[in-house]
Amino acid sequence: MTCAAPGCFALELCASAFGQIPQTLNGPPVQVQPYVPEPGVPLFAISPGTVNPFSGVDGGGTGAQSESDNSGGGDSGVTSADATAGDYSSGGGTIGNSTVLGTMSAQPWGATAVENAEALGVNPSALAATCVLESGCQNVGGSGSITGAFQMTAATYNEMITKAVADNPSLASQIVPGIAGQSDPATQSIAAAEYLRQGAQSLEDAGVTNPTLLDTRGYYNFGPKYGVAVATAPDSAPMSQVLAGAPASVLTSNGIKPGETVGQWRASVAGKIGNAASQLVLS
Amino acid sequence: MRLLLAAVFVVSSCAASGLAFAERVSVVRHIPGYRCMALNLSSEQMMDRSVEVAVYSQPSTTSPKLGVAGATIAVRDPTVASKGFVQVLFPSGQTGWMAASVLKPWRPAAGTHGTCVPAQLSNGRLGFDYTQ
Repeated sequence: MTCAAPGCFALELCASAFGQIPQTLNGPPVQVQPYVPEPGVPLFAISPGTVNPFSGVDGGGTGAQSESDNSGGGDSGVTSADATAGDYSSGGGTIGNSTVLGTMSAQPWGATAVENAEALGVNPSALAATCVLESGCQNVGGSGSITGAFQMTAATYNEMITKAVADNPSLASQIVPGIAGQSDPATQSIAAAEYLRQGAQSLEDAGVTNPTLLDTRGYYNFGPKYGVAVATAPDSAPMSQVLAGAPASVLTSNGIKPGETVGQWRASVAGKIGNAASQLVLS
Repeated sequence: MRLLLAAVFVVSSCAASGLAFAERVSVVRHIPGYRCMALNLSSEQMMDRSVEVAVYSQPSTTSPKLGVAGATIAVRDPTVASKGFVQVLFPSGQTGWMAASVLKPWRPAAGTHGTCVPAQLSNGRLGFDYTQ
């Protein structure tokens, strides 16, 4: 929700509130304490719960996919592992950031997904933002082998679910076996959390300390090496220079416009996931 | 009463929307004694997360690894070389070594006169200042 939202036009107060000193909505909105009960209105109280880490901006999805073969080796320090280079698909979820965590938690599998993320040391907010970005947290199909609430390819799902169980064997009992697990949101949340964890750890391996969800999105959108370059660039940097040498498809498939800066790309992503963008992926 | 409750909620929501965007990241200073270089890999290798280029703590593949390299690398300028390795600055702030054969000069995007200079960023990270 932004201050341009129709609800805000009801009060001129909105225009002055936006752009001033940022304030955190820590807990529920201020409650009115009625001193005269209104006839017919039941008494109620709002119990403070977990603070919602998302703020209120709407937006659409983003993402890209890249898979390629490789070769490398020798004494130069270049190594090539036998890994599938999968990625999340282009997403289409519309996010109301004040309800993103609630969006995932409201699903029948949401609470399990939160537990799965925590079991792998991943911030549940990062997982929630990912599912909202990818599918609006709906268990929907995609192109090719892409499907599910986290829109993972079959190859990436299989690779990540295997690694997740290796990292935390206790998760094995919660997994729908075989490829059917890809279509089970609770099971796919395990693979998706592992995918986030691996991306964040790869960034740390490249010297990018405390990777955020924004850093990790860059890692997956632009590839591992350019992802590091984006994470270590100032807002003023033109994306075309940070990605100099990258295939043109890397820019076009991610909707990077001529002259767009890293800061504009960051704002674009943050506009879709709010302050979840700056949250750490690893908890 | 209901109108008042609605008003309080709307005002609270608008205030919270100020949190939407991440902290601005700017260049604090350029890092003298280093220049930008790029990985000497194919486009396919650059996009493949299974291809990793190691950064070592010493000029030897048997020395402990500091980590892996990103697309742009801060290389000591003038070059400090030893046994086919050149000295680099790892984003963590540590000095490392990379095989000279996996590096090539950094080039701006085609048709531009862009520049790249190693820099300290406002978020504490070591990175690069790119211009168009």
